[in-house]
Amino acid sequence: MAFDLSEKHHRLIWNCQTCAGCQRGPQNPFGPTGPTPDRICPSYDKYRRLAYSAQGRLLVAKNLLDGKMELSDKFVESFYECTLCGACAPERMTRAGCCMQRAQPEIFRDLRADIVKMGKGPTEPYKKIGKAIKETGNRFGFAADKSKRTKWAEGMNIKEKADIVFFAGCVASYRKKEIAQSTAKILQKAGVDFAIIGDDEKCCGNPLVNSGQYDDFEAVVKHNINAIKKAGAKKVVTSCACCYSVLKNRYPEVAGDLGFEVVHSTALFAELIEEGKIKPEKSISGKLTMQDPCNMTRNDVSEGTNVPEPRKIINSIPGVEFVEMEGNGMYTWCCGRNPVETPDLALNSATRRLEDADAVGADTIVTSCSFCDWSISKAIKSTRSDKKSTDITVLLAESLGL
Amino acid sequence: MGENVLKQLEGIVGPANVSNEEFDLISYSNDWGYDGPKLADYIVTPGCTEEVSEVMKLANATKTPVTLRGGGTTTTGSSLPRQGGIVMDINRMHKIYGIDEDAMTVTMDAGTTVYEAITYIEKRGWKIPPKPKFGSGVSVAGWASFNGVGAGSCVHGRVTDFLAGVEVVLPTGEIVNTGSRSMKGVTQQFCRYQGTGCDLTGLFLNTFGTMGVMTKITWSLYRKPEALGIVGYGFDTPEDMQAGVRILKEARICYGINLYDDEIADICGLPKTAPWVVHQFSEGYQEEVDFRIKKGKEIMAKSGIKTCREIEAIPFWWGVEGMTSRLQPSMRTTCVGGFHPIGTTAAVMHAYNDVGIKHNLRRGMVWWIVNHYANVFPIFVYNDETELDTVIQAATDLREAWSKLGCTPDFPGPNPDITHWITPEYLGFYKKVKMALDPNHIMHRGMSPIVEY
Repeated sequence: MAFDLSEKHHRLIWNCQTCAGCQRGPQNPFGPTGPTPDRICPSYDKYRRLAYSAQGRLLVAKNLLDGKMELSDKFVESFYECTLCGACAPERMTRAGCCMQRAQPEIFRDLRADIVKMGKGPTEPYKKIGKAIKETGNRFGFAADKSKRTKWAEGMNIKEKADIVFFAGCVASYRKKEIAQSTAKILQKAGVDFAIIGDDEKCCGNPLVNSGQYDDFEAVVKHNINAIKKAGAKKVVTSCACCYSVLKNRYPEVAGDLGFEVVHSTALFAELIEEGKIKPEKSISGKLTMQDPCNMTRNDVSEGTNVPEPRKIINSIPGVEFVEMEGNGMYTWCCGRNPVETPDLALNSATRRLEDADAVGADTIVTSCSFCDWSISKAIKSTRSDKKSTDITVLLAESLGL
Repeated sequence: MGENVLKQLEGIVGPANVSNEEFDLISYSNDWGYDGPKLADYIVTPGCTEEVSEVMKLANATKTPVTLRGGGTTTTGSSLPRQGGIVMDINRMHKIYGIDEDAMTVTMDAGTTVYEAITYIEKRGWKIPPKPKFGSGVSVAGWASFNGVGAGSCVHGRVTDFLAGVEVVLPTGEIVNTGSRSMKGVTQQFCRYQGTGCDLTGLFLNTFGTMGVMTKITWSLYRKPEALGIVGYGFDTPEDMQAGVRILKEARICYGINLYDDEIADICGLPKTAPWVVHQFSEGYQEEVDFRIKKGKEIMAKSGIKTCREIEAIPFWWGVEGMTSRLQPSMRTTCVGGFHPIGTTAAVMHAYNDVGIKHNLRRGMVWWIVNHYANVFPIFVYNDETELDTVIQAATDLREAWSKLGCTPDFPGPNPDITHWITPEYLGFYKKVKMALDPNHIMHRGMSPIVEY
C-alpha cells in the first residue's frame, strides 16, 4: 500500500500537538467579541469519540503513514464521517490558531484519495454518487431523457452565450429548482446579460473531490471548463456555495488559470442592490437568521470577506427582522452537508442548527448554499420543526415580486 | 480480558459506546504530552453516572486497569493507559444542570468543557473566580483533577478553592456525593467543608484520576464584575521583575498578576515590549478598577526599582497550552511547570536559562501568581522528533535544579514520574489511602506517584 498523496503532509501531521482544540470548547476563548462557539466539529459532536475528530484522524493518519497500522474497513467508514467543513482550524496562526495551518481538509481529502487508489474506498454512498456523476453528469443519477438538467429554465428564454454564465448545480437543477429559477429571474430583472451552459453543465464535482475520487473529478473539471469557455464566459455565477467553492478553489488545482472569474450570486446581487439596479420592495415578515456556508467562509480563499453580502441583501428587504445565530461567519456551524452520503451526521448537524435558530428566536433560516438548504430542510422534516429554511435567492426574488 | 469483557461493557454502555478497533485505540494513544503512544484495550464512553458505576464494578471485578480521559489537554501523560485496560472518555457526559441562584453555584457533568460552563454562566451574569488560561477542550473534571489555576488565582486561589463538592464514583463502583450533599436530605451542593469529618472531596482533587471518577462538579460563583483593568510594567532584569511582582502582590490591588519574558513573546508572535513583562489585572466596579490601576502605577513609579517602567499592556492569557497552540508551524514544545515562592523567581529563571544553554534549546517562560506563590510554565522548543531525547534530558535537569531551589513540580512534562521527588513518608501515606480506596489498584495504574501493591 502506498500513501502517495498523503505523504507530502507527513511532516505537518507530526506537528499536530493533540491539543483538543478541534473537538469542542471555543477555539478562541479570548476572542474580541467573547469566546467563539463551544461546538466545533460536527463529526465529534455526533459520535463523541476522538477517532471522529481531526486530532484523532491525524493521529491515525500518522500511524498509517508510519506503517504502524493497517487500513481497516471500519476506519474507512469513520474517516468518511466528516463533512470537511474546516471548523477544526478556522484561523491561520492568529491568536488561538492551530499548528496545522488549516490543512486538515486537504490532508483528509488526499488521504481519502489514497484510500480510493488502494481500492478501499470511498464508502458506498459516495461510490454510488460517483457512478451517477460519471454516467449521467448529475449526483442523483437522473438520466438525461427522463429529467433534463435545464428543465428549470424552460420558458425563461436564457441565452447560450454571454460574458456571464450562471452555473446552477445539481441540487438547484433537480431538487430545488426554485433556487435556479429565482437566480435567473433576478439576473433578468437587473438586466444582466447572462447565459447557462444548458445540458452541457455537469455536477461541479464536489462529491468526487471530497471523497477522493480524483480521476473522475479531473474529468468533470475539464468538461465543465470547456463548456463554460465555449459559452464565452468571463465570469461564472453560482448560487450554491459548494459549487462556488469547488469552481473557485479546487478547479485551479487541476486546470491552473481558469480564464474566468468565479463569484457567488450573493456578491453580485449585493452589488446590484447597491447600484440600484434591483430594489426589494415587497415586505417579508419574520425573524430571519443566516446560515453561513462553510464553503463561503473558512473553506474559501476569500477568508470570510464575503460574509457581509448576504446580510446586505437580507437587510435590504423591507419588514425583515434579522438576528445572528451563535456560530456565524468564519465560525459557522456546518449544516451537515451530505444528507445522502452521511445521513446520520447530516441530521445531527442540521438539527443543531435548528436549535441555534431557536435559541435566538428566529423562525426562518436563510442560506446561500443549496446543500445547506437541503440538509436543514430535511432536518426540519425529520424533527417536525416549525422552522423554515429558504435560500437567499428565493427570498430576494420574492421581495422583488418575481 | 477478552470477548467477555467487551460484551459486558457493551451491555452497560451500548455497543456504539465501546470500541476495541485499532483506529479508535490509536486515536486515544497520545495526549498533549510526550509520554505516548500508549494503547488501551477498550475505549468506553459512558453517558451517565450509573453507567460509570457499572463499568467500575466490572473493572474492579476483572481487575482491569481504568484510565480517565477528559479533554486530554494535560502534558503529564495522565490521560494515557500505561498498562492497557479501559480508557474511559467522560465527554459524552456534558450536561449543565443550571445555576442555583440561591446557593450561588452551578453543577455540571464531568465532561462539560470549562469554557462551555463559563459561556453558560457568563450569559446569565455570573462568573467563576479565576479566569482559566489553558486549551479549549479541557473538561471541568480534568481541571479539578489537576487543581488548575487561572488569572484570578492571585486572590481567589485554585479551582479547588471554589469547588463546592463533587459526585464521584469510587474505584469499587459506589456513587458518593461529597460537600453539603453528603448530609441526608440536603439537595443543594453549596459548601465543600462539613461537620462530618475530614475533607474527603480533596481525595479526588489534584490526583490525576487515580482515586475515583468524578462525574459531577459544583462550582461556587460570583456576580460578573462591572470592569476589568490591565496595566503593563517592563523590566530589564529578572531580579527587578521579581521585586516588582512582590510589591504588586503585597499592595493587594490585583485580581491577577501575569509575568513573561521576551523570548516567549517572540516564540508566540507577540510584540516584544520589554525583556521582562508584568501585568496587573484588577476587576470590580469601574471606580474600584480605576483606583487600583492608578494605585498600581503610583506604587511602581515610587518603588525605586531601577528599570521599572509602564509599557503597553499585552496580557498573555494562556498558559503553556495556549503557547503551543499559537506557535509557528514546525515547532513543538514541552513544559516542565512548577510552583515556587515569589522570592525565588529570578533564581528559577537563571536555572532554567542555564539548562537551556547547556542543551542548546530555544526557550521562554510565563508565570501566573497563585495566592502568594508563583506558578511557572517554562517551555523548551524543538523542531524534530529526534530532538525529543534532548528535551526530556533538559526537563530532567531542570527539575533537579529547581528542586534544589525549593520548587515543587506541577506539570511534570515529558517524564511524568515524580516519585523520586516525594518523601518516603508521604509516599507511604499516599499508598495507604490509595489501597483503601482502590483495593485492586485499577485506577490509572502506573501513574505518578507510582505505587504498586
